[in-house]
Amino acid sequence: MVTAETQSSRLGGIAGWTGRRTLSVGGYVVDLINFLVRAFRDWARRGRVFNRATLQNLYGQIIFTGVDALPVITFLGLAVGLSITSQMLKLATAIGSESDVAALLTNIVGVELSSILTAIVLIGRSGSAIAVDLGSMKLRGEVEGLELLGINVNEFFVTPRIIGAAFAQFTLAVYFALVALFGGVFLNDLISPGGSTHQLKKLAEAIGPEQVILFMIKNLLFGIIIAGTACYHGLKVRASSTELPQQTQKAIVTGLVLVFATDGIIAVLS
Amino acid sequence: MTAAALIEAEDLQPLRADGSAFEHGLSCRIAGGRVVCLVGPNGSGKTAYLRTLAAVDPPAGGKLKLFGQEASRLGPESRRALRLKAAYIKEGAPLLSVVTGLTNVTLPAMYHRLGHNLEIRASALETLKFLNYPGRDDVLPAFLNQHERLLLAIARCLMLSPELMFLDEPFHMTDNACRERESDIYVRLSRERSLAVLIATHNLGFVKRHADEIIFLHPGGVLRYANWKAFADSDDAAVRAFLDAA
Repeated sequence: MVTAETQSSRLGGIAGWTGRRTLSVGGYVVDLINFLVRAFRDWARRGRVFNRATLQNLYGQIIFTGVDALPVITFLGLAVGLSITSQMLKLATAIGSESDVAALLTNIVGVELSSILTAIVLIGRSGSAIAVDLGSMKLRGEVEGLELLGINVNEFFVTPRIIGAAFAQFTLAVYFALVALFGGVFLNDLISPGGSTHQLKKLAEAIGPEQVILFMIKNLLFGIIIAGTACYHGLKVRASSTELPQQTQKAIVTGLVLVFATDGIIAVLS
Repeated sequence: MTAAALIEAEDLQPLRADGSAFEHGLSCRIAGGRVVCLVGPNGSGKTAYLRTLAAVDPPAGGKLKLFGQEASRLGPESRRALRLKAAYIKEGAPLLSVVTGLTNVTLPAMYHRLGHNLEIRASALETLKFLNYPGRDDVLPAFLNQHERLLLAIARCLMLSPELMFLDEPFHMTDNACRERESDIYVRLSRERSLAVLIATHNLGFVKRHADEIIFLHPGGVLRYANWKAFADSDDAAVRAFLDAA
């Protein structure tokens, strides 16, 4: 029999669980922000912000996250260009409101889709790789080996990866937007020839300075989130190899959640 | 005249992994140019005492002075600076797996901006020559054997010109010929470069031939001996049991 007392205890249990979960999520976010702040503080504390040892890490990260991801970003950009941009341009021709469609395209494809899809690719490629890389180094004692030589792990491993990933996310998103928008226009022109110069002009006119700034801030933030969560979870690995897949999975899921949440917050604020 | 002590420990008690303290404190005064060995049965806390003496781990109790400075009062930056003078090589001598052997050697010196690229590279090659490094320096550590990896780990520490060197089980996983070469290096480092070399080891052959001081650790306490003869002649039951088992 369900008494008032058991019902109240059940409700209390649910409320308690919700409260604990909320607190743990809040605690996690605070811990992550603290980790990022410490990493940048340690990096900025040194006289010259990069030295030859940390520069190698930065270049490595830019090449791995940025240059190596170009083929997949090109493919995705062309796919979006074909499926969305060219379709919407056809729609513009049909309804005759070219300026509105150009504004929609720059907003949806140029600002939103390019940022989000690039971030998803980077989380899958670089976020997981960073977490596995740092986690394995931690397991093999390589991280402590460097600390024992007076090397600051934040400055050596974390900040170059975050800065490299932020730079790569931004440039890849720009590249994605260009491929998706202009690729879509050209593909549309291939299907139904004529008017591509005019459409390109309309698209260029639809991009305002506010959008450019928003785009830049958003992508730099995405890069910081992706590499930051990956480094945070990679360095959480302590002694057992079973921790490695667990932390990698957390890095990917958290990266995704935080990127979408940040995107939502920026959308609301702007 | 007594040489200046690089390490001064007074009733130093390390922490166990579970957060409790080792019961027995270690008091010692170690000057440069000496080879000090920490020996004892498995689980006696050799690694914990070595790490605490090197100020890698905080102590549970007691006092520790390194280079005349109270180790417990050092902030994070001073602690990092200390690591340049007090090198510590972990068991297995882990190197950075993603860069070549030579880059492993030059990297700490580059990080600490101890010279120009070419100077650091030349100094690294000279250090490898001093250590009679037999392997390739242009391959990743995964393609090297344990002896070669250990020599690279020693070389990257030497690039920072330390005065103290702590080694945890350095003879681990190497054959007799390599052990001989490694023993020779530790002796040369202490005699030619005046480094204080502290080694936690099970290699009693090395201890017998080269130790200037022996610290014996066992569950019943911490004992110090001036040389192998004093250690071997000890009538302490724990020492006798340890030597008989060895």
